Amino acid sequence: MFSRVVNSCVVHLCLIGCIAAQSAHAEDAKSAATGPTLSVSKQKALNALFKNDNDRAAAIAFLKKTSAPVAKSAITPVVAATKGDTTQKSTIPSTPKEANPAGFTFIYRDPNPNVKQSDCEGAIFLLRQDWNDIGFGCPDTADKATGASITYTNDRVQRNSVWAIDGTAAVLYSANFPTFQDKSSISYFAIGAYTTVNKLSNSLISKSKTNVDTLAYGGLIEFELATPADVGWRHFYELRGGGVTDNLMNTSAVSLAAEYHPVYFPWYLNRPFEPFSLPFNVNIDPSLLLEYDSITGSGQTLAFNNNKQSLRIGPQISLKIFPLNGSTGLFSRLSGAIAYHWAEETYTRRPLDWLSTSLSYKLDDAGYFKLTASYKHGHDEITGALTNLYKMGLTGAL
Amino acid sequence: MAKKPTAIEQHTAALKAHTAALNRNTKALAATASALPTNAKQFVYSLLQQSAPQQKFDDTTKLAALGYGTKQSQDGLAAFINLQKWHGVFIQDADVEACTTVSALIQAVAAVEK
Repeated sequence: MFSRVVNSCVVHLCLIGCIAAQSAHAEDAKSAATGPTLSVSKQKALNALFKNDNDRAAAIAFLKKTSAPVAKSAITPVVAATKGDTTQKSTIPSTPKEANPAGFTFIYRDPNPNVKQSDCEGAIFLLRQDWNDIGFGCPDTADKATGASITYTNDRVQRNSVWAIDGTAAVLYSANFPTFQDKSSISYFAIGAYTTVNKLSNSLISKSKTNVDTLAYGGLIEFELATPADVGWRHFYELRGGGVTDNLMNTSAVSLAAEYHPVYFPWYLNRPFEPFSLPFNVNIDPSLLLEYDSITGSGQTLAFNNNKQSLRIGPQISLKIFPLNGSTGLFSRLSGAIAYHWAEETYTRRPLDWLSTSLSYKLDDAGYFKLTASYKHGHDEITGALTNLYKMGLTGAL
Repeated sequence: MAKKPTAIEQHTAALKAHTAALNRNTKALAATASALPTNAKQFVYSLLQQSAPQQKFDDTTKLAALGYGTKQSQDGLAAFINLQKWHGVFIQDADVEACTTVSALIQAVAAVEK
């Protein structure tokens, strides 16, 4: 119902945009036919200012160029098929986003092709490795994500078989709202539910201390604060709350988390860029995390601080590395992610850290399936258990 | 004792100095001006090339392939476009998110160009 309301608003905006675009199109054609000219007063002023002929000619050319209206009709049509079709050209911005090539992501959208709606709106199902892999609202395409993983390792020397499942699934329902030139506003809001499974099982009893079996579940809200146009920041917030069950320790805890992610392109925050002319793009996502856990069973403690409650605050930096568009060879199939989180546990004043890295080689062009090597070190983000884990296996991102 | 210049003389002297400065800098100004994008396509290409000069793309390239596949990067791009104040362009986040390809973004920018 809410989606229908949002969609109908978008239709109206689209119609206004189409009429304005067609009107501008006619004006452009007219001005392109006559060509820009300078007024007599401007020419006299230029003659007085510039004694040198070359300088005067340069100034006149500059003024003509800047005063000339841009002919929108000069812009290359999207595809050859739309050439000559003025309706198509003027309404192209309103064309809904075509299916994501990494499009196993399930999205509910209005079937009307004239409704302008992004893939980031409506209901969406996500499957990724963790929250760093998910991001906000619209997740990165599967080829750039690490993805959830199911791995099996058979060590014939030690006669140990290892099964591991690691992933987060979430359902989000989101909507965009207008931004304003001169004031801040909430431009995005989403609600959802999630579950995170982290399981590692060794058949060899002597290796059982590395076993993991946790299940986290709960709800979340996300929103975005857009600043005025001349400030240029976007502030993303996420609040999560739910339960964490550790089946090995037989503990269960209540967990609350708040995240803040700034976006500001002039400082390259969440802006993809090519570092030092290397053949790949890097995306840096800094964030601030506040996490609270409280154990619910009696006589049990949290691994973060051996207390019943834990409150952690600290920064995190996440880097995503992916190939430049058009690159070939090995680099075109490689992608990587590094996340480092440092936090202070406020009850015990104890520093905690968590490093999560992965390097993936995509097996298919869209990147649904990959060979992934990962390394995790530090205090697990969910349970606080000390972890030092290498993994290599097949991963899938939807 | 030197004669104190009149207001007219002071004004004329200032105007001469200003004219001389303009004459000195015209070529540089004109060169800068000619480098500024004059249409939406040039504007969008210049923004996308700014952070990844070696990256190859054309009108049909998908924005996700250039790294603008997440909501954060798409909304950041919308904010960055608005920050340029190029031809009065103010674009909504949803309009950028709805663009799959570079050409769709060019058209979206052109639609809000003043």
